[in-house]
Amino acid sequence: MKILIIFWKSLKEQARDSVTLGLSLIIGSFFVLLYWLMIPSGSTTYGVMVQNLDTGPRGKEAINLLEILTYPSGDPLLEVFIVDNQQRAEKLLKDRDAEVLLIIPENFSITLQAAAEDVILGPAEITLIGDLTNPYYAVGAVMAGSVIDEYVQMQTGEIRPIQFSEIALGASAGRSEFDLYIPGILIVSVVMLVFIVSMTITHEVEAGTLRRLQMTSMKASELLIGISLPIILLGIVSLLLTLIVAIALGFTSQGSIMAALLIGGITAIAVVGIGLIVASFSKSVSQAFIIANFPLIFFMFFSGAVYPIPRIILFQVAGINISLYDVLPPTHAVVALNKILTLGSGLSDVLYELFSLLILSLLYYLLGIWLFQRRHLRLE
Amino acid sequence: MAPQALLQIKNLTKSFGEIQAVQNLSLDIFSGEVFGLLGPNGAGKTTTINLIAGLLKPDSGDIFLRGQALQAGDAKTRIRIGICPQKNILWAKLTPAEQLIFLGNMYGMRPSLISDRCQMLLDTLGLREDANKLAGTLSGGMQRRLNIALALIHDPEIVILDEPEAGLDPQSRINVREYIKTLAKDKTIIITTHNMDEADRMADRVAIIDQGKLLVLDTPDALKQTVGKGDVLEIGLTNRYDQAGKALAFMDDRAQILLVGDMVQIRTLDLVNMLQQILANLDEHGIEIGDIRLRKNTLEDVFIQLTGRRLRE
Repeated sequence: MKILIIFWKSLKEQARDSVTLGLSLIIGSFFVLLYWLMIPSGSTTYGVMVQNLDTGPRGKEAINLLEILTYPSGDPLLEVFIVDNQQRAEKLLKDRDAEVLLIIPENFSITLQAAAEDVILGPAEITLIGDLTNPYYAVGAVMAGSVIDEYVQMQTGEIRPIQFSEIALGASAGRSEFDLYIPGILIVSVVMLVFIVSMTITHEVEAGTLRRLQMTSMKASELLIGISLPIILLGIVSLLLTLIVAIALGFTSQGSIMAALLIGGITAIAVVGIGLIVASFSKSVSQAFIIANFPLIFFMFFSGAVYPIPRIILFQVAGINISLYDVLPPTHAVVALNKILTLGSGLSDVLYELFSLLILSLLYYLLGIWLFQRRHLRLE
Repeated sequence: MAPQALLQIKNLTKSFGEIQAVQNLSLDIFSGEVFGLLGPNGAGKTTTINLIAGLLKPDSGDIFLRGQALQAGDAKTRIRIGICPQKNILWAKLTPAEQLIFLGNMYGMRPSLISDRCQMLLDTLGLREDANKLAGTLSGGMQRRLNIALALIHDPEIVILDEPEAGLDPQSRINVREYIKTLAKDKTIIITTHNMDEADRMADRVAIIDQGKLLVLDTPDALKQTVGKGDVLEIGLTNRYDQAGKALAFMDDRAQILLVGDMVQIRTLDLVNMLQQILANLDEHGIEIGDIRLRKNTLEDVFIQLTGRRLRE
């Protein structure tokens, strides 16, 4: 009963602090909008400059193939620029105005023509130039290289002894780059609540109202659970709002929205736990705000929510790789949401992630409650 | 037969690291009285009330309420005591009515009782008109009244008011004082203050504490009588403080003379006749006078006599 009364009181306070509440709820949607603006067509188009030195017609034909390469949605995959000066093209690469410079050699047509007639003239050398530190270079170079390679096979009629075939997992083939970021951003929208949790709870300490409540017959657990519940609800609402904005901007979910909300709710338990840990070490709201940045960075960046990161495998349990960042609940939440929303998996396909997320979230929550009780609710 | 104390404090001691906040404090507080804890800032007043309220654990010593030992952190104990802290402790985003109902629920009171108490407190403390405004938007005086109401919602036997008049405008001060008088009719009230006038005006008995120790405990009148008879002349000096004793030596044993900082205090029964001579002698010794004040004995005199310091030093 007291838990419900505290829940209702906290909910009222949150609702009346409209600025903080509003900002907390729209932060995920803001991230979605930001990504949508960064990737306007919903997919990345790679800039490929082509310097065609070929004296015959084949070079031009290969360029035509590069120009018509598209995503399944019809969006262009490569943006092809014809250049005639290598030095100027390299400057454009350095300025990152394009990702790849592809040079078609003088003997391209002659060599292909000869090969078609089973005459070997020696290889015509296609050159790819680019900044290897540019993350888009590799994709652009592979795409351009594949198109040229396919064209060469077609012209020479040669059949390779080994063929590669690609099978897209779930619905991933039809996904735009924008779609791929959404599961992570949904988790970010929940993780960002660490500020509101830690600041709300620390406010009770700083204002002295926690001391007043200690004078009553209320139990510490009733208070902490009562304060936590509105935040978990807020986490679910924040995730839902972010998802609605993402769908409005073109995101297509392949899985159950309810499952996504469930994952968001469980992640919010972990976020409340972290908020309690932050509040345990804070005496003022401003201090809580500063401290909360550290777990936020860990949760956002090391979980792979905003950018995929390599897994550092520590050991194996029952055939499952356990990595360093698996101690962070959002790591499992991002993987689970990715499977559900991108690959169209059901809850039964993400049981490991769901179980790990639940256990870790409860551990963080219990640690938060224990620390908060020790630091702020224990009698001196 | 002596009346049984409502609250008995026996050999209470509490330290924070090297600082001994309360040292071997023993005192009895009787049912229905207004009890003043007077002392300078840092004397141990707030620590003492936090110990009584069960918000702190004593290092040693006991507190008995109606003969029953109180345990720190025990909910049954806390319900019998209401604390009104010096700083207004409110939920800024809740209305006065919401706060009273919320706190009543936290005390585990029945809904009908909460409603009755809430209405009564809103009316008695003049909060009715602002009952549905957010506490953060109320004036300082209204917030102080709400602070008092929150200490009373659960109808405690003992009400502890920490510096109840601190920071209040004159009108609010009068209102609060009047309310405390009303409250004293059926509650035991403990007031902590460093304001001698506040303690003198409101308390039936006053305990003066300093550096965690009880110095004296009695009624304000009895305490003031211990300082001496007659009026007090206070002369603020601007130079040559060391010459004041010589300049006033002519008064012999007809007066009590006390030098406190830059001020000399003269207590005598025949001040009017001596005043001219006092001023002349100070002038002869080259001592310049800053200001002169004539007054009755106060509790501050008691404190000065006991410690050699003023309450606000």
